[in-house]
Amino acid sequence: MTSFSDEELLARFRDPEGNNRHYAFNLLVQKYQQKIYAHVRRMVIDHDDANDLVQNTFVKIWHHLDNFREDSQLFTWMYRIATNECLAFLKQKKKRFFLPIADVEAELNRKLEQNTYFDSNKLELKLQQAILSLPEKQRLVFHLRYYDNMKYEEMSTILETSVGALKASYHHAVAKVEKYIKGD
Amino acid sequence: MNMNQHPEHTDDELKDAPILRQLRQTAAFNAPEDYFQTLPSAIQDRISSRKSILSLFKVKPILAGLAIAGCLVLGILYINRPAQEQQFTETTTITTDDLIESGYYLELEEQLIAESVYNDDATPEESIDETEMENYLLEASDETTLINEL
Repeated sequence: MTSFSDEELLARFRDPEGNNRHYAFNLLVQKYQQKIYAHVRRMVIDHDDANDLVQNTFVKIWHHLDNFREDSQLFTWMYRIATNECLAFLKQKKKRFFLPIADVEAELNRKLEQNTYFDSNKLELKLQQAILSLPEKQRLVFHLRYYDNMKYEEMSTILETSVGALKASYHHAVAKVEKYIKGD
Repeated sequence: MNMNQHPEHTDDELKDAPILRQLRQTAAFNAPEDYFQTLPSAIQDRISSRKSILSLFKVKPILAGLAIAGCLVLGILYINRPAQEQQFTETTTITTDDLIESGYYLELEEQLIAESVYNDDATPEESIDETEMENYLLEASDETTLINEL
């Protein structure tokens, strides 16, 4: 399959004369679905929840793509939508069941251990548990840097936090996770 | 499908985390078989179904407005019509006996009472001819009364 650049996909999507909207959008989904899914899945653990949130994310992208101002990378913008969906989902979970943060984390931990689509050895399981013990925003920082190797400037756009704060946050996250795995 | 293929990472940040460096290449979360083949069409379905729901919400306020207007019109008609019919019904059911019992007849005009009497079912007597009427008046009245009447 031919790979189109983000600019080409945007141009096809916004073309007022052509009937390329759905086709261009499909190409966009195919290009980024795995990355978006991975990002969401790491946050919410459960595949069914992740599937729902990924679809919601792309539906929002469909509805707002015309208004995308191109002041950041397209993928950064999409990532931001996905991140907000995850945070809203976790917040709603707490509110709906009147759960304190610790209980939501415990539930995510339980899902991790019971998950059919989690291919893990003991060490990997411990790593994911360590990451779950981090505060939500720090967890996000860790995911974006450790797994996606995202630049701090892009992260700053997504999380609306300064680069310096993000670097510090990641540094502390690495130390906490390493300590947790070692069982200190 | 393996979701966790780690891209190139800055080792500098992990220099004090050997376990994290080691785990960079290992898999974790997997998606079901064929998930990414079917995801684009699932998303398109969701977009289409959301369009239908949104258009329904646009129609709903119009329907609600029409329903309210219809209820108001029916309400006004209902309040007005039945009350007028009732008035007529009540007056036609009053009998002569009812009238006498109530004492209301004392307030009525003579003409109205006479009409009521003539409307009764009793068979009217034969009409009196003029000669008989004349004779009756002559016998019943004295001369003075007759002159005054003329």
